Amino acid sequence: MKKEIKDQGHHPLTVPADKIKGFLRLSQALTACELDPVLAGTYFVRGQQAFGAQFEALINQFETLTSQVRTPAFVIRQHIFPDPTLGPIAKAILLLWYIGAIQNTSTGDWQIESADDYYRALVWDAIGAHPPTLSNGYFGHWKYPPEM
Amino acid sequence: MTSESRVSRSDLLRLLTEACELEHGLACSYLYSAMTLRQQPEIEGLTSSQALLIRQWAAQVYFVASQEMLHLAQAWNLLTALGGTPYYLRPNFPQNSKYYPLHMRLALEPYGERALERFVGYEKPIELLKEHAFAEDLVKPREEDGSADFRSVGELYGMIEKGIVELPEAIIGEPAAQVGPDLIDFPDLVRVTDVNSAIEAIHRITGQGEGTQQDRTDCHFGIFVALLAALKDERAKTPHFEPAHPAMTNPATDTSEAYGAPHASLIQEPFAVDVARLFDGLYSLMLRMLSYTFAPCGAMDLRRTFGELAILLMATVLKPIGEVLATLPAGGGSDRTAGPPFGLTRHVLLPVDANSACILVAERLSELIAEAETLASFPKAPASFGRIVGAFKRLQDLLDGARSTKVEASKIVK
Amino acid sequence: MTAKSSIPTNETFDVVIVGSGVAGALIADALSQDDVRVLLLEAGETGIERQDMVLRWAQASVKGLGTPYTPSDPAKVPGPEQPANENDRKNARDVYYDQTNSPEKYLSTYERRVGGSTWHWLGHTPRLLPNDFRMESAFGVGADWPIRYSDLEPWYCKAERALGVAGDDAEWNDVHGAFRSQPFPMSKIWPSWSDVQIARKLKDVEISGQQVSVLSTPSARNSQAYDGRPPCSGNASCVPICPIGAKYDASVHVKKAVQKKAVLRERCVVTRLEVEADKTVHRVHYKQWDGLSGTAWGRIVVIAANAIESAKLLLLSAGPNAEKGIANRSDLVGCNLMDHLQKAVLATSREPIFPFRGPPSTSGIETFRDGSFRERRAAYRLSLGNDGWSRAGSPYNDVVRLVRDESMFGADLRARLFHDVSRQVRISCSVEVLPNPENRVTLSDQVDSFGVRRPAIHFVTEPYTRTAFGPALDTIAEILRIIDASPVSVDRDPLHYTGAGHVMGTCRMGFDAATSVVDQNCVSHDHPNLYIVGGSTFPTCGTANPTITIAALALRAAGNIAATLPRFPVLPAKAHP
Repeated sequence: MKKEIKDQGHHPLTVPADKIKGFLRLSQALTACELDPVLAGTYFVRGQQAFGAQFEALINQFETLTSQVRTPAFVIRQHIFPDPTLGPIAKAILLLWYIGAIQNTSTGDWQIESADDYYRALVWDAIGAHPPTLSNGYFGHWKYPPEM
Repeated sequence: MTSESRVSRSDLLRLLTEACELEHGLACSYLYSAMTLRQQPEIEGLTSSQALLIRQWAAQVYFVASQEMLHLAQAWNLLTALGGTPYYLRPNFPQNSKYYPLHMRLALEPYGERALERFVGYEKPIELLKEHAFAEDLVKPREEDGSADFRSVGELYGMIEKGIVELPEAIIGEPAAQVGPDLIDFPDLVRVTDVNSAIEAIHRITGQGEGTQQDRTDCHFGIFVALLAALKDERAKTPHFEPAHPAMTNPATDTSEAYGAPHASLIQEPFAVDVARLFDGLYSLMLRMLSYTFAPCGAMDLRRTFGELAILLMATVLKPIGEVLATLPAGGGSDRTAGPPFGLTRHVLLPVDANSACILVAERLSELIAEAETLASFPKAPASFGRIVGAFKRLQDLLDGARSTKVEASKIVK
Repeated sequence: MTAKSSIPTNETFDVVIVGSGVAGALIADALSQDDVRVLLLEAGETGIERQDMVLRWAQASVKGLGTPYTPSDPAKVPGPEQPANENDRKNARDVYYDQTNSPEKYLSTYERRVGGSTWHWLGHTPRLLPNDFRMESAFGVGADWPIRYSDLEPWYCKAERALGVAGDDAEWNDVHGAFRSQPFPMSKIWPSWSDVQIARKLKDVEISGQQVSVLSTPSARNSQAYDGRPPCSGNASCVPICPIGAKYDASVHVKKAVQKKAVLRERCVVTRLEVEADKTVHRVHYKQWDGLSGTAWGRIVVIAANAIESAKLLLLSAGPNAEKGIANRSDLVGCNLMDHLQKAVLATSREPIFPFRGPPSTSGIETFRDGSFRERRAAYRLSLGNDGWSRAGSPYNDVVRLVRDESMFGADLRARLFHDVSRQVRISCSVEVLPNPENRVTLSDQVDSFGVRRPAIHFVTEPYTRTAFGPALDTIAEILRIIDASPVSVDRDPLHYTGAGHVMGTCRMGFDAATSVVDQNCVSHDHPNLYIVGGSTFPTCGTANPTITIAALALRAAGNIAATLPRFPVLPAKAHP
């Protein structure tokens, strides 16, 4: 199945902004990173496609519990991750931000949708490196420790 | 001074200091523009394809800048070989175009067509200058005092080479004082120990800068020509493509400094000012350490340590801070971002005595780390700032490690 | 450069070259310099722009060697990296090679496209050592080349200049006797932080009674702007693609050749060579992707299609005047297939060493590439990895493990990820294989998607090679101990190795027509105007990545081709096929 080379910087937002806000808050709690709201819109759609109704249930649960004056980290650790249904979805979302891909449960393959997903995966920055083919460096920079 | 009369040693030293100022100024110019290139495509809505291009361009400009630093280091070796000492002062930006016979306006400008056109002009070999946009300015001879007349960087080095060849006993500096790749991470640095190695050093500089008549592709001139064409290409495809942050031209934290230049752009937003001052402080410390490495009479181990420290400082602290500055609003009603000023202010050279030199560097480094930590704690500090502090501390560890291996104060190079 | 149905399909040239990989490209360029009319035939295509190939790779869910290079019509040019059917991508190699009768699997693969496999090579260019050329005389094993290191040395220098090799003269002059008469064209690729730390700890260390030193690996990778290509900026993606062309690939010389008026015909799969009554080989029959057939006629014909495809073509060309195939009176075409067999040891260092930065490997240990032990067992080369445990799926697998198994998230996850991954070390060994006539390429009864018989491969390793893995792994274990890194489980089974991508042997060089396929000038013993070049001609393989040796031999062969061309008359117009 051939894919056209997809290289869109702007993902048109067809989802209402308030739904994305909840997703963004959850994502920021999961990743502890400043996240791009535009990318969040794209990932929101992917989450919906992959997990259906449970995806929105996860966001609602997170919003509800955190509005009850509980810290996001507490909510994730004590309520979301241990939940047999919501836990795996939350973890899949966290992995989506880190890897740019969602794992297809039947084939086991990780699916990336566009080059953007690959380049914006958080894992590279977290390890003090960069996505291969998009080095942030210049000749010789690998001789010195990363800017960490 | 006419081309007939022989150039004296002091003439040569003076020409070399002009070369040093030029290489230094060019390095800063190039670094500045590279630091303004965008890095976070997801925030600024660039496509992956554009992000790839921008980072590739940044890598090329950083590479050219690193070669200018090599040229500066090479000029320092030439100075020491002739009996002088490394010269690292330069006028602050923007530089008056009448400052050199060259009439090149050295300036700090964000990456763009104007900056690239300027860079092409700096590196252009003399026979191609007539076609250049700045041709009028560039070929105007200087009317004032009888100092040497040159119209391109290549010509300046040509005069230096001729002078060295014609001066009896030109090379009087100690060979052991020369800096080679064993003392600092410049693999192509030539130790100047005789007239032949002096000529070799000069040819390497001009070869890398303006190339040779047979090949203008791989030199700086060729690289900038290609970069300019690539930017124009991309703009033709995407008219509003903006690869760089809208940084100021010639930013400064204070326009009244001793070496200050009029017409700089003042950074006014307090946080940006503090970060810019930190940048300048680090820059100055780096130069002082490099000066110790290249000076003829320091302790060998410490020359090596400072060489390593200076390069690490440049790569892991200065560069990221410069890049952060390119994203910080300049304030004062400007719609521009700040940018790193590369401001040189009053300071003293490091003493020859190894213990004292270490103390000065360690203390200054601690002060700068403390400033950085404070800045990192501000809410508006970008996330990368915390990491910069980490890199800083690693430098401190390195210095402490070197000091604890008992550098003998009396280990002076004879 | 697209193939059109209307192109002339019966043409005469001075030289027809089959294959546009590094050997074919260099020869095409060298000859075109001197107004020799050259035709370069390529089964594959030029493909899309480099940047687009990078993006294609970036967005691929399954990333392999061939991912950037998917042909526009894979069924027309199937190969071990590009299956005719996309569903076969994960086992493309086994779909193409017929190894049903092979005790072990031959693991290395290649690309069929303009520029060949250099698109995805790592770029390392260490030379073969003097003893590698005289294994039989020196150690009583393998074979002697009909040339010596000193014969090839000036060509190594020219090849390094042509490709643009970065290296350190002081480190490399005279390593195991391999003297260098010219400096490297560029100063070395800088070692990584990890290399520097390891080198510091190994200073003055002896292992098995030998001084162990870490040397920067010479590479066809720019350390400065060179030949119109930028310096390496550490994109860390050499395998499978350099986004900026800092790493050499043979499209460089294909372009130069075309600029000098060489004719490149891509999408032309050569299916048969034809022998004339006087034993010359002039006619090269090919089938284009669009189905049209063509024949090119050359005064001299050069086969440069890699060791497997070249042998396959020669065997396919069996017919009257050539019962066992072209150039095969010795019955050795296809025999002595070799590879370098590799094992990687993954370890955890005590201190962070910051992998995933810079080229995947910038330094190595050359100490164990030669010695009297070669009478008994193979030599090996060690390389230091800058790519952490990427061969085990890092860094992605690390995130998955920490999130799924340890339920980590937030700042803790980030910190732990950095902690774990920043300490990932890899040291690999690459072991030599002796020529063995039983290791051979023959023709399968099955055809590929283009209707051409598939290569059948029989490959088995010998004790000479298998018994080298033990010492190599012991050396690596000792190094890891010294540098304070603990290995993750080590697989010592000598049958568990990976291929290096070094496809060699099958048309070896020699003085004696009974025991070799080509002579010391790469001319077939059987056909005076037929050259076979590339890794196919190696009688032995040492422990060096083959490309620079291929390039040196190609440039030397180009000189011979130019010199011998006058012997072969231009075909009179009347006698046109």
